[in-house]
Amino acid sequence: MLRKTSDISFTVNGKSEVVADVPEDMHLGHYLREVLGKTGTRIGCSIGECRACTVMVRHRPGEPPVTKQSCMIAMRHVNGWEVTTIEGIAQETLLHPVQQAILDEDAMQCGYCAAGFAVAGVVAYEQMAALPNQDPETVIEAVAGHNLCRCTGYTRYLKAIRRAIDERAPAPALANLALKLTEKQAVEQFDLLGLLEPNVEKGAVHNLRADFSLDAIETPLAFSLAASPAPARGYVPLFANPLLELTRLLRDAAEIEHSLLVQYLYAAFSVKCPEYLSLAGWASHRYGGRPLHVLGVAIEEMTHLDVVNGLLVELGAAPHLGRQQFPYEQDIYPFAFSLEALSLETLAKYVYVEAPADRIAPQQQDPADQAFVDQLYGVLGTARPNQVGSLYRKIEAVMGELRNREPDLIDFNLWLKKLEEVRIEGEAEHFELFKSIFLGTHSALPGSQVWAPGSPQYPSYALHVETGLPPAGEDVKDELLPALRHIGNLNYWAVCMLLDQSYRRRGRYHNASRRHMTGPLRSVASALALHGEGVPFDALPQGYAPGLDDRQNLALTLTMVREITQAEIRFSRFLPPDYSKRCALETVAELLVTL
Amino acid sequence: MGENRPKWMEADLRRAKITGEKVFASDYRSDDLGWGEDCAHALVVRATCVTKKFKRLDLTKLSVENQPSKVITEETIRLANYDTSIGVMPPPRGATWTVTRQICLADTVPEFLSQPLAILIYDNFLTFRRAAQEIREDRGIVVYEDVRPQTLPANPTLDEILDDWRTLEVDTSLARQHYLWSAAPYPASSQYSNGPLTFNAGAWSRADPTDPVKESATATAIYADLALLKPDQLCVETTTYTQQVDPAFLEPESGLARFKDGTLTILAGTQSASGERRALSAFVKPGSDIKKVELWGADLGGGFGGRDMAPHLFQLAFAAIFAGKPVRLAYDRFEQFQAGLKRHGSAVHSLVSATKDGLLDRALMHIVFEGGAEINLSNPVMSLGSLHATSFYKFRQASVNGVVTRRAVPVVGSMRGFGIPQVNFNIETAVDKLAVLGLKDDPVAFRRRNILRHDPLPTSADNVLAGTPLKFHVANAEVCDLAARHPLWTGRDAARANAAKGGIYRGVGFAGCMQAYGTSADPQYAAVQLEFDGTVTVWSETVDMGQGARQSLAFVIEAAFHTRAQVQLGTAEPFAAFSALMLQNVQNVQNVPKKWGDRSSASASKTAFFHVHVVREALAALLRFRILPALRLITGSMLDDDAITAGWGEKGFVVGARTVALSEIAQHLEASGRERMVIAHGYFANGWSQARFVEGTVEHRSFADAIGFARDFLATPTLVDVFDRVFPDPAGPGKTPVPRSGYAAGAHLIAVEIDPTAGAIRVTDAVAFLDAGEPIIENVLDGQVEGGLQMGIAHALFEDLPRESGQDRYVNFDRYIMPRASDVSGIRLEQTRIPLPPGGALNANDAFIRHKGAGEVTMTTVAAAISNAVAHALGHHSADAWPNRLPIRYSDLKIARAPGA
Repeated sequence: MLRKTSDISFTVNGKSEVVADVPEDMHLGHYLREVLGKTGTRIGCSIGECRACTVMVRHRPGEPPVTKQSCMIAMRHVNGWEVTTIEGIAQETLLHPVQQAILDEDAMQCGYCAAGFAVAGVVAYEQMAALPNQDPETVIEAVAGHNLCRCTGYTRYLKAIRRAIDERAPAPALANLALKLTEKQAVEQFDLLGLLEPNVEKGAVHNLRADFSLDAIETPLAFSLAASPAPARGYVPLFANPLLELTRLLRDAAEIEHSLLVQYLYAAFSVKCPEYLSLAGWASHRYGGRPLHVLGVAIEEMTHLDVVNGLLVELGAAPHLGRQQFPYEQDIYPFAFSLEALSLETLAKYVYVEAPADRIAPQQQDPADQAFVDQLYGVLGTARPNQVGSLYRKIEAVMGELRNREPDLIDFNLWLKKLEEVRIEGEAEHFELFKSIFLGTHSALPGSQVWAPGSPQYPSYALHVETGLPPAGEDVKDELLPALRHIGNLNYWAVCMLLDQSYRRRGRYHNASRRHMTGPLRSVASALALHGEGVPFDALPQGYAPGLDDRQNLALTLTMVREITQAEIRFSRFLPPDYSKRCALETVAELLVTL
Repeated sequence: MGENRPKWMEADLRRAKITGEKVFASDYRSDDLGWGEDCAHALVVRATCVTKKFKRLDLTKLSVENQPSKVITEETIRLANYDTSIGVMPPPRGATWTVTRQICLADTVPEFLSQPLAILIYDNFLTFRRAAQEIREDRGIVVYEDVRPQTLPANPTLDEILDDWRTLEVDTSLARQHYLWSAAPYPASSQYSNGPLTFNAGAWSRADPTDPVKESATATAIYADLALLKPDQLCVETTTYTQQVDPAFLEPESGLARFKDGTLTILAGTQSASGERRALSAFVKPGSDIKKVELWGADLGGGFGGRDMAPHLFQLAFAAIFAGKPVRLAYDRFEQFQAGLKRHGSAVHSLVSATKDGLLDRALMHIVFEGGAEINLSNPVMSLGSLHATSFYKFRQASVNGVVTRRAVPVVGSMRGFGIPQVNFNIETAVDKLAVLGLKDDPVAFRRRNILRHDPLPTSADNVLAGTPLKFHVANAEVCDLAARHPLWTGRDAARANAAKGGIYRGVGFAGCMQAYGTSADPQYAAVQLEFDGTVTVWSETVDMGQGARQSLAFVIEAAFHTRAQVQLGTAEPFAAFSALMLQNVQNVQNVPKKWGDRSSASASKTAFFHVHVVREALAALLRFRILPALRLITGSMLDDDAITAGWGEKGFVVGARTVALSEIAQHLEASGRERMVIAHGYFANGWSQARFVEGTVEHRSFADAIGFARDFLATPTLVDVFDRVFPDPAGPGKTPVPRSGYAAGAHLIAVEIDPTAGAIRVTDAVAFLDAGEPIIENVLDGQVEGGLQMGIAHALFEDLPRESGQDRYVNFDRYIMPRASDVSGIRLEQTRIPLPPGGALNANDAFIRHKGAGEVTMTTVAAAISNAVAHALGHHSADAWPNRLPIRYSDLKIARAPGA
């Protein structure tokens, strides 16, 4: 089984933590508590909902901080962050004004949530210091409004934070109390850790150093690949230049991972719950390890999308949040995008595309394996989708050639390792899971007979999908299902735009996008499923980065999130009881800090 | 224990909590306790199925990397000669079933969802977490076997059980409680006068505990008469349902334990350390490797009743016995939802009638509490709920019949309110309906006319449902009077009409109650010690779970002794030796009441009335027997107590020209070989015990019944000679101890706005009326009122567990919705405290106490007040205007008219 580790550099309460081989799947909250012994960050739910685990994070020195839920953030995401925990809020014996106000107001009862409130309060305090024209009530609601307290009526916490903000001394030094470093020191610290954006030319710009004279012919990629010791059989690159070809393939990979993610999500919400909950799974932070349910695979596809987009950005290309286009490349795409409930037919496709080639070869040695492939091909009929693994082999081959030509372009070893992990996770783990579901041997299923049409034990509902886009010239109807579809779409589009911006900014909005997925989007998907529908996941025709530049795109992302808040007000009466309306507000606040 | 003084022994932990210091059990690691860094992690594998037989674990299905180092099963424990039923509560009176073991026996159907099947021991944290995920996601490591469906117990619906129960048909293995009260026309009949009531084989019987059961013709006739009640203009029929909820304290249960050199040591956050110590002591028996059990209680990250004899601690004990090293058992939230104690769901049916003169007349109620598989505190919860089913009203006749069911779901136990919020939701909506629809009366005025009145003279007092005369103060009348005059109530129709202009349904509802505090018999201990620096340390068995026990006890000491205090809560010492000595001394004494000298750390609604009282009695004894004699020796003063203490202030006693500090007195006591620590025991059952104590020439009267002195908290104490020990008579003519005698009234006026555009029900205003007496610390009491309102609103409008929790391993705060700040912080909350009479909460011949227990009553009436407010908002169009099912959802409202109509 894969156990992924990363070398990670970040700071905790002003102290640098440069650590090798950190388990990528360990979440920050556990790292703080179990490795660093900082148990003041309390964990109440492990899914980012109670906010007892709130820590303060600055993404760049001097930038206003934001809150992060340390219990749902895997260590792989914290690279470059400056983290302040409750232990780092006070200066020696001098409490931060927010801490003091919480004590003065007698705000806490049992106090388990108090550290989370204090840290969130300090973030609100600092955001108000940095952007004083905001409405403090809105900032407090956005930053600390989701913090859960079971004992109190919240009023005193809010009053304490507000009081600290109102009484804030005008001296700018207070605004950076928690940083504990001067601006200059902080920049040096970040620089030392290599956390500042590298000021080097990368990607295609790097190519400008090449000789562009007419007689300087670049060796076509196809030639190099054919001559390589492990040629990718049957693969003919489109471009001569490996960077261009790699960019093409990676964008294809991004589309595929995104498409699979959406289709698996749709399938997961078709599963009958609670009977088959172990099959559907639950969308929350996972430790690594083989996913054992459909949502687990979807979550892992998300990490694959991260890897592919991360590499694109590393190569100087834009991240890609689009889905497969028409016409798609027949030799690369696994199958036509289609939102379908979980069934034997859909499972056959999933099994096939995730499989390593040898495991689905028509002739197998083992009789059980032979029976499996016979059954698989029986269900597939004549369809032969492409396997995802084959695309990654092509990517790895092109990477190899690019390394030969531009060895200092990126950290090839690191990225090849990550790509290999993506391929293995698909071929080993996703394949095995889908195979077990297909065969009825998954622990949640009583046997293969469940897939018989009409079986009373059939594991899924036949969800149907309706577009959330109203007919031209019409508004979204003021009815339950159109409203849910629309809000589902808005959250999906916001997630895509947030991710696009996040990939360009060292993953700083991943936490926000995950909140939208595991919060509002999950809630809407569950509610739609009760009505026999799935989330439409309509593609946004304008794409997810329609702005002229990064700043415009970020502003457009903010605007999309505001669309959610507007729709929430309009369709309030249709929102499921577990739909969180604070999610969008919180994201708005987080984006405003960057803008 | 490590060299560092653990935080849980400090006086005030608020600063520690706000700066991230280690405070809670979940913060501590093995090394913090001096146990070394090598600590195992325990993971409980639980049953998610009660329709199949558990055969065995197949760990080959767990990833190779995530294999445990040890596996503890029922067999492991049994073969090592440990009792697997340790900590399981015995069946209560009237019931014959109980869960048989903490961990499921192989080859049997699990007794309940989430019952432990095995405890896996891991040597490192990451492997443990990853394995926990694999198991939650169900690797299929639990091997089950089908059983014939007919061998499984029946699983009737709640409505089916309620229907049967209304004819008094029920599985006879279940615990039941019947209260029958009648003033006329039959001869008076009540538990107080005639003994407890039972119903068996179609016959009612009354009996006191010393007489054989005999059929009661009176009870039979009264019940038959009540059974003829039918809904009509003057009789409302109400069926209400409340949901099972999770206490949802923020800190998932967690603890550390070690078994070394014959001592089993546990650090945990628990509400019931005394009960658990008692249960764990069963490990210590001849031939056992366990020679001693220590349980250290850390402050709790919330409790609300959900950590009272919870199974977590016993699982931790088993893990420690077999882990071979220190071990940590820390649930995550998923496990907490899956396995933690829950509040009982309920179905309540009532028929409540009034005379046309507007007097409540008769009530017939049937209550079904949804229990879990294990008893825990189900029976007391059902019993207390039943006792409160007729709220604070006087009826001519009432029959209340409670039963608690057995379901194969996780343990259901006590939770804030102890069964009373469930019944209050029924009676308070029923009375509201009766007033508005039946009598066209003002609902508060109607209530005021019918409330129970207290009187120090039992024969003049009204009687509660059990027949107990209300001889102690309870502000039922004042609560109704204040509500009736409150502008929120008097202006409710105008505000409703005004809101209607904006398309909003606005309504105001009232609900009240009187709620007993304490238990039927409350033994309490306290110890205080004068330290060399002049400060005072107090030891108490209570725990702090956010209700301010720590601060309150410190405040009481500081106010009484003008000095700083240290507070050590949840401790076994110094009470263990003291109680043993007490009990030994009364071996041949007659009439020692039930539970006298028992150890109890129960903390809900008990700080102010119970723990504080005994602390004060201990302080008084320390002053009288030690401090004042020493002061006289130091100063040579011959002044009497009043005169010599008149000059006592922060710097000490001013006696003539001298100021003697407490530190000097402490030094003097030490030098003269006198103890500085006093331990006191008091007992409350229908009044406080009292006695006269004599040591040498000093005599001291106290509302405590045992006082002793000790050199330190581990030393054997010496008891002071006791005379004239008096226990109030705990029983009436029926020879049955009164179930409760101390009550606090409480009520809420709540305004709601229903916005049909937003599909939302929102509480906008609340007035909490509270008969708690004087607050010890105002902010603490106010905080209880604020928190009680929030929890009440959560119960009424938000919380909803998946039906069969325990099976669903993914319940968490994303689906289990509780109010956030914006849901409740905008509510205009006003608190109205009803002052006590000059004599205090009790009567002239009893202890002078100016506080009552109030932590629970603050949430009891919220749900009913909201339902009544909704009915007002919707125009009281019919009985359907009152929501009868919690949580109340907009989509369930019966909206029949336009706003304001």
